[in-house]
Amino acid sequence: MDFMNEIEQTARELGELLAAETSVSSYLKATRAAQQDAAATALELRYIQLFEKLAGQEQRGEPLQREEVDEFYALKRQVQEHPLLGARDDQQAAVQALFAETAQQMTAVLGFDYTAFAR
Amino acid sequence: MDCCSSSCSSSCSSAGTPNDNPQIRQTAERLAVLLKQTEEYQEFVRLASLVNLDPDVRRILLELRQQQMMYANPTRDTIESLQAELETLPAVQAYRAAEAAVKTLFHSVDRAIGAAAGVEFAPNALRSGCG
Repeated sequence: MDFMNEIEQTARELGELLAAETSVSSYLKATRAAQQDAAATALELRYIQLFEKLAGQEQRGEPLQREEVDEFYALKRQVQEHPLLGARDDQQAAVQALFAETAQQMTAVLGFDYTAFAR
Repeated sequence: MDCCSSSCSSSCSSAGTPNDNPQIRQTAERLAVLLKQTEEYQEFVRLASLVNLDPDVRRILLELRQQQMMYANPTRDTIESLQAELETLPAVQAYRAAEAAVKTLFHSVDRAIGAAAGVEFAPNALRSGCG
């Protein structure tokens, strides 16, 4: 097998092994469930939009409206407490831990941070 | 403003899934060993060791360090000027080119991992920052 093909094949194998892990399949399932819930999607969208607006204002040194800051924290709490979004985030954290550990094994062999070069 | 994402509170308590699948570990290591054998990796490592021996690189890095040590608030212009000068050096340009080649290779490998996994790999290879 051509050397670059061997690399590509091994990368695919690694991806398939990761896909077979419960944490990955659970995360994908939880993501789909959250995406299919219109209320959850709208809540998260509003939270992200307000976050981006406030962060932009803060960066530009503009004053933040008290009502909007209060709304931001209220939305944040709602997002964190939403069962579908919370379940997705829990599964994502498990996937991130698995991926981080796997990437760390590659980093140990390579001698430099794999993720810093692959992102 | 506290901008911690919605995933923060939940991830702090649940992160830490152990990679107890030896096949994953072995395949990740095999992939890294293959990557180490590529021309891109070999050239990058060679130039990374050479760049720090270059006298002009050493001089500018020393100046940068002195600026940062001697002045509590070194002028941004001075720092930026030294960094710009550093980037013009042939040794640094060669190093940057090799670095870019490794990044291109790794991006391609990472896309293959992510496509097969169904989830992007490197962007999700994050340790929880909440603890």
